Amino acid sequence: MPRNIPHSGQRKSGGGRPVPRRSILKGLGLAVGSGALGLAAPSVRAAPATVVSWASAGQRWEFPQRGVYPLFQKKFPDIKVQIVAEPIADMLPKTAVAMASKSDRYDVIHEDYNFVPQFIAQRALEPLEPYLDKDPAYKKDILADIPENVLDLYRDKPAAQGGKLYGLPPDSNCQLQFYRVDIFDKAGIKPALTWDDAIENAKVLSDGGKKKVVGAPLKRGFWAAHVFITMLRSYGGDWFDKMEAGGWKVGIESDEGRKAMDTLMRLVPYLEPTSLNASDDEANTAMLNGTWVYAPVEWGGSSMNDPKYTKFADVWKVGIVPKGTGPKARHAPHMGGLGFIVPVFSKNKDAAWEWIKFCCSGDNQDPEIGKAWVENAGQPARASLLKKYTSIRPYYSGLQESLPVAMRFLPIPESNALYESVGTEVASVVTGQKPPAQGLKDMQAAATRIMTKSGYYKT
Amino acid sequence: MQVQLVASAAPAAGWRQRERWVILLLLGPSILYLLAMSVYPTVYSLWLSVHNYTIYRPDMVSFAGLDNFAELLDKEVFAQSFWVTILFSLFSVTLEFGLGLAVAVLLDRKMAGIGLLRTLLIVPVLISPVGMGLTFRYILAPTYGLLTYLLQSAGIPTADWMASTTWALPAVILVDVWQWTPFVTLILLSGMQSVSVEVVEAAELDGLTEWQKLWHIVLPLIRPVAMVVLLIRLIDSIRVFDMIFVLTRGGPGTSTEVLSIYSYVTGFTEGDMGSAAALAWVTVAFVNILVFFFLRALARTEGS
Amino acid sequence: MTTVNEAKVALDDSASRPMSRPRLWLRLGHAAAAGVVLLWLFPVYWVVLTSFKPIVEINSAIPSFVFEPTLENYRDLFAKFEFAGVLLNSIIVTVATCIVVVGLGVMAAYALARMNVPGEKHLALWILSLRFLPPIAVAIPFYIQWQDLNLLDTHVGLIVVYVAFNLPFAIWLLRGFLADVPIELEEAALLDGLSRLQILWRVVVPVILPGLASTSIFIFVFTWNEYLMALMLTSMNAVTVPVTISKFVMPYTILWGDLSAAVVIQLVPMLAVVFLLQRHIVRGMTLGAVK
Repeated sequence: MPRNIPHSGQRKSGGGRPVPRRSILKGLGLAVGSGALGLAAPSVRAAPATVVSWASAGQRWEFPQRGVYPLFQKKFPDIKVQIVAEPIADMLPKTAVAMASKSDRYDVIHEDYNFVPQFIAQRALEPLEPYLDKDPAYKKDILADIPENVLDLYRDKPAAQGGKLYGLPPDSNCQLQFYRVDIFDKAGIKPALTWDDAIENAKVLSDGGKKKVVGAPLKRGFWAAHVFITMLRSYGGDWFDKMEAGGWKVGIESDEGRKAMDTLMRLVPYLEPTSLNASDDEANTAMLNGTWVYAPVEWGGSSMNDPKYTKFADVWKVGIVPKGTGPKARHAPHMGGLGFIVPVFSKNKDAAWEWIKFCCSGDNQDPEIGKAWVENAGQPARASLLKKYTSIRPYYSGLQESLPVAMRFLPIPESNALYESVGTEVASVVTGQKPPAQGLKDMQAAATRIMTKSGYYKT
Repeated sequence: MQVQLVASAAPAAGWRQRERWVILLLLGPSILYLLAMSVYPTVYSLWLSVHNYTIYRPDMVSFAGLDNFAELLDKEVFAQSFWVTILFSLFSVTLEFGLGLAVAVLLDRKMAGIGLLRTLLIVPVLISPVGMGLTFRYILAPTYGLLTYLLQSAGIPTADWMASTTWALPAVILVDVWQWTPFVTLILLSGMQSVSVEVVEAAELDGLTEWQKLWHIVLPLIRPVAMVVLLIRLIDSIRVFDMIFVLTRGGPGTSTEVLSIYSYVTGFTEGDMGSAAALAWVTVAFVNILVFFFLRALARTEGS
Repeated sequence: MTTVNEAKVALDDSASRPMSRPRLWLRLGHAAAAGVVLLWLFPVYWVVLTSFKPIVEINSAIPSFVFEPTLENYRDLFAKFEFAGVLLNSIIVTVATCIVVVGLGVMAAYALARMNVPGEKHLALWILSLRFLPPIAVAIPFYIQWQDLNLLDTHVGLIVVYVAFNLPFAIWLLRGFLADVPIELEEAALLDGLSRLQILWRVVVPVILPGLASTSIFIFVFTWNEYLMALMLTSMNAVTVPVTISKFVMPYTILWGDLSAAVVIQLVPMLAVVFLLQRHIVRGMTLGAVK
C-alpha cells in the first residue's frame, strides 16, 4: 500500500498553514537567548555605596522616600538608593522570611514595629546607638522630638530600663476617632468620649438602623483583633497580667474582656456591612468615597484631608479614641508606624545609616527635608513636624494628641501570631459564626496555646 | 499486516541498545529536572510538617512528630475550612459543568463570526485572576458596588454579598463559575464538533429529535473528553487560591476560607510554618484520594 | 457521494452537522449564542471601560457609563510603574518557559508513548501527581533555595520554577496527542531506515503541531497569569505583570484606572495568540483530552 509520509513542510490535519521548521529553530534560539539574557540580567547584588531600601508601596512609606531622594542625592552624590516598593500586605511576610533566611539583599527595611521584637530576638538587627552617637547634636534633637513611647517601639526594652535602639521611625500612626464634621453638625452630635457615647452617635447617625454609615475594620485576623484589644484596654484590661517571668497569664476572658465584647456587639448592628470584611484599603475607600461618615476606632491616614483623594478633605476631622467606663477606664488607642531597621547581614551599613538619618532629620538638617516628607504623603513621628504642618494636614493634630497615651502591640516575637489568632475568633463572633461567650473562651485558649508553645510558662 | 510483520522482524540486540540510549536522551532530562525540582521542596515541607517551626522564632525548632496533624483535627477552623472547600468545589464544578454543557450546545452551530465568539468566550479564562478578582470585589461590594447600584436602580432587593457570611461563598462561587465555565464549554464544544457526521446523519435518518440526538448520541460520544474536563476542574477547584484571596481573603469571618487560604494564613500571617506544611500535605492527600476514586470509577464505566 | 466529502470535512471545526431545523429556531439560536457570550463578558467590558475613565469619575460613589474617555491611566501606568519593563519581563519569562516545556515535553512524551519504558504507567502517574502539590507548600523552600543560589529576582529563577510547574501537565497532554498518531506512519518511516530521533522530528512533530499549539496555549496562559511564585521570588528586576497588578491596591486607595489599563494590556497578547491559534486549540483539545 503506497504510503504518504508527511514531510515537515506538509501537514496531515485539515486547515491552517504549514509551520516551517525554520520558525521552530528560531523559537529555540529565542529560548536560549532568553535564558542567556536572564543570566546576564543584573541581579540585585548591590554595588559599593548602593543602598537597597525595602519600602511598602504607596503613600506614607514609598512616596515620601522618593520625594526626599533628590535632596539626598545633592548632599550624598556618591550614594545611590534603590527603593524597592511592594504592597504592605505582601511585604511584611516577605521580610520575615528574608530575615529568617539571613538575606543580605536589603540594606534598609521600612518595617512595621510589630515585627521588630522577633527580629531582635533572632539577633538580626544592627544596633543604631553607635551610629547615633557619632552626631551628638542630631541625637539630642531626635530623642527630644519623637515621643519616648514611640521610640521604645524600636528598642529591645523601654529606655527607662536601659533598652537599646534598633530602629528609627520617620513614620508614626495611631488609631483615631474619625468623623465628618458636616454630618455631625447637622445631626447635632459631638465626637464620643466613651464607647457608650459612640454607640449613641451611631444610633443617631443610622437614623434608627435605616442607614448604615458607621464603620470599623473587622476583617478576620489582625484587624478585628486591633479593635477588640483597644476596647479591652480601654476598660483597664490588657493581654497579660504582667509581662515578666511568673506572669504572662492571658487576660482576655476577664471582666474587662466581657465588657469589651459586649461593647463591640452593641456597636455591630449599626455598622455598615463592608466593615465585616474590611481591612485598611476597604475602610479607607469607604471613608474617602463617603460611604462611612463615622469610624470611632480606625487607622485612616492623612489622605483623609487630601483633596487629591477625596471630595471630603475639608470635613474629615479626628479625635481621640473613646474610652471605657469604670475606675480603670482609659483612652487606649493602638500605636502603629513603620520604622527603618538595618539587617545585620547588610553589606552597606554605613551608607544605609546615612539614608536613614537623612529621612528622619525633619527640620534638623534642612527644612526642605521635613517639607518634602510631609508633602509626599508622609506621616512623621517628630512632634515638631506634626505641629508645623497641622495647617495643611489637620489629621496631624489627632496624632499629636493621641500618640503620648497610645499603646503598642506586644513587645514579644509572638505578637503577630497572637493578634492573628485572637482576631480570627473576634471575626467569627461579629459575623455571627459563634456566640460571644464562646468566642472569648476560644480567644483565651488560642492565646494561651501560643504562649505555651513558646515556652513562657516553663517553671 | 505485512508492514507490522516486517517491523517485528527487525534486528534485536542492536536495536534495543540504541533504543535504551534514545529513551535516556528523550526522557532523561525531563525526569531529572522534575526530580531535582520536586525532591527538595517535598522533603523540606515534609520535614516542616513534623516540626514546630515558626517564622518569628526560627531559632526555636523542635521535633513534633505527628502533633501538627493531630492538632489540625482538633481545630474547628480546619473542619470549617475543609467543609468550605468541599462546598466550593462541589457547587462550582457542578455549575461549570452544567452551564458549560448548555452553552456548548448553544454554540454548536455554524454561523458567521462563530470563531470570534469562541475567542471572546475564552476571555474570562485568560484574563488576570488578580485583576478580575479586584474588579469583582468592586462589583460585588455591598453599599457602593456596581451590582448593588444596578439592582437598586431596577428596584430589586440586594444582599450584602461580600460582607455577609451567607452570601460571600455563593458570590465567590459565582466568580469562579464566571471564569471557568467558558473553559468547560470550549473543551466540550470541540468534542462535539469532532463527532463524525455519518453518525449524526444516521441518527437523523432514524428520525431522532434534536434532544434525543444530543442525549443518546452526542453526549455518550464526548464522555471521555467530559470526564477529563471534570477531573481537571475538580483538582483545580480544590487548590484554588488567587481569586478567593483577592476577593475576600477568606472572610468575612472564615466563611470563604478554603484550605489553601487557611494554609497561607497559618504559614505566612500566623507564622506557623509547621502546621501550614502539614495542612498542605493533607490537601495533597485529599486530592490524591479523590483522583484515585475518580479514575477508578472512570475506568470501570469505560468498559461498558 | 456528498457523504464522503462531508465525512472528510467533519474533522475540520469550521464545518458542522447539516442544518435541518426550522429557520426561526435557527435565528433565535444564533441570537441566543451571541447574546450569551456578549452578556457573559460584561465584567470585562466594565474593566475596559474603566481603563479609559478619568480618575475623578472612577472614584465617585456612583458608577458611570457615560464620560469623556482618556488615556491618562495608560500613560500613568508606563510613567509611574515602569510597565514597559514589567511587560518585557512577563514576555521573556513566558515565551522561554513555553519553549523549554514544549521541547522537553515532546521528547519525554514521545518516549513514554512510543518506546518501551519500564514502569511507564507508574512514571506517568508520578508525573501527573506533581501537579497536585499546592504552590503554597513549595513557596518557602524555593525562596530559601533561590536565595542561596542567587536566583532571586532573576528571569532564570522564575523560568526554572515555571518549567517545573508546567512540565508535568505538558507531558501528560502531549502523551495523549501522541497516542492518537497512527502507528503506521512511524512504522513506515522505520522501514525507510529513519532513526527514532529522525522519526520524532520529521514525522511525528509535524503531525501533532495542533497538539503542540494547544499545549503551548495552556502553558502560556498559566505562566502569564501566575501570581504566587512570582510574588515570592521577585521584587524589583524580574517583576511580572500579575504582581504589578496587585501593587495597585495601595494603602489608601485602589488605583482602579491603572489596574484596569494593566488588565487590558495583559489581555491583548493572549487574545491575539489565542485568536491566531484558535483552530488548533479546538482540534487539539479533543485529541489530547481523550487520552
